[in-house]
Amino acid sequence: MRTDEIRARLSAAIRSDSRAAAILKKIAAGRANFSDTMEYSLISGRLTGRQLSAVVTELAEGREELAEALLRDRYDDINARCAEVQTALDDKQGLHLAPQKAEFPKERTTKFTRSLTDPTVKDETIKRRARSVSENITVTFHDDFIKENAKFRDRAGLKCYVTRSTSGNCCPWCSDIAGRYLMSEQPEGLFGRHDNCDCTIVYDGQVLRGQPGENGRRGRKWAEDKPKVEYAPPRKLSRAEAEKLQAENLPKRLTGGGNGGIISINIDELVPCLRDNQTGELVQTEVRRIRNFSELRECTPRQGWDFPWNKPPRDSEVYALSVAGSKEIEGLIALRVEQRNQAVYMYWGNAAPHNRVTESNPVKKFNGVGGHLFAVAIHRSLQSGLGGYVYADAANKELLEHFVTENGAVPIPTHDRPYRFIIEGKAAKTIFESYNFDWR
Amino acid sequence: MNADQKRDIDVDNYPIGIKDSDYVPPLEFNAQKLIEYLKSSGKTFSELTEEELKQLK
Repeated sequence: MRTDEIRARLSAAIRSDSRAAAILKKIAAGRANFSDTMEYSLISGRLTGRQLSAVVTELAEGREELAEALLRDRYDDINARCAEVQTALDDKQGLHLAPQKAEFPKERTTKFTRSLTDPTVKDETIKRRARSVSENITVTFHDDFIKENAKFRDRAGLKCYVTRSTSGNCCPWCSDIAGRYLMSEQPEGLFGRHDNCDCTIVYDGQVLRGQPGENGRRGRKWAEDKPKVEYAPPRKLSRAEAEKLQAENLPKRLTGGGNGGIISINIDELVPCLRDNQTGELVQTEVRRIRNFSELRECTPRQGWDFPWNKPPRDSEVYALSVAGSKEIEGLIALRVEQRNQAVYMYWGNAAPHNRVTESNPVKKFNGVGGHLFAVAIHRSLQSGLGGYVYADAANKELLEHFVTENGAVPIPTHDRPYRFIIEGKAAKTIFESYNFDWR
Repeated sequence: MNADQKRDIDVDNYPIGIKDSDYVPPLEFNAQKLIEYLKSSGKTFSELTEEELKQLK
């Protein structure tokens, strides 16, 4: 196969990846941020590694040229996407700074491409190198862009903060270095990345503007222009909009469940957005990661929650579901990304007490929180390259049976976890595609 | 439990997870391999032998 054909095939594979395509759409619409481009780079890296690994040992000649060509394509692509995002973010803040393109890592690439022709190692080793090293180099194109632009802006007098986040189930080195740092004070190795590392490295910058004087015009004295935090009211859908959304999403639920059977989820219980029980209206939702658990000090068994959310399991990531624009928590989920087991474990999941029917709360505020929390776990699994696989422990036998019959879950009971189940990739994607929420 | 009662279950009312557990050890096998194996063998998880489970780690 010719180099050009392989390059074209890889570009097509990236474009046809559903998540990558969604991110590209978001970038084109000017709504993306660097977390999106980071995710895009991780997907590109994974597909590059897979493509190169699949063909490298079939080539007697031209391995080096092919590997370099594939990496240069990804370098150009990732830098172009990041530049688009940078420009869109700057436009919103009235800044006009050209995005900086990081230098292509020629030396590292050459070292890698040469290693693919090493006659002293087995084909399996060559394939492994082709997969993991090309994946790693592709992701570092994004890291280099972030580093270069954060450095450029720091030198221009703007305060830039670099944030490194782990994927949850990461190595001690990544855990130690993860955090948010001022660009000029970042620890050594902040931009480092080992093989199979899926840490996210992004940056955000300070905006300096002339401060408004008495006449309302901006003066020459520059100071930080902190964004005003304004919460938009929740978007309420009309009956016609809600029915349209339901019609679009409902058919997706009718195929692809469990072992190829049909799953049929009761729309009254699992709704695409949260449904206000008082008015029947659907409202948009958003999900954010909780890092400061003191924020959850009111989410404990004493306040009607099932778990002490202010002290979640130490190896978990916690996400909160809210109505878009509101700070009130409608549900919480604690997850653990298990790369080794190729699945995400749903440690704890809980609808807020006001979203559950109890003796003291006969009418729930919103319907659909439970389904949303599942969708968040599935999203995290897809984002981590785990194919949407999630597993959890149901509260009882009836609930387990419900998940099995309605959601295509597969029971995996053990003596100490009798109600454990897995939702496999295909069924998981069906659930995931039924929900709309934004990440904040 | 009949079909009507099953339909009445509202997942919002139930927590996911085990109360009073601050640490749960990870699975001892690869979830994706396991599902593929269950599909291809037509077995349920409880029917798997220790030998089969060992191969799915």
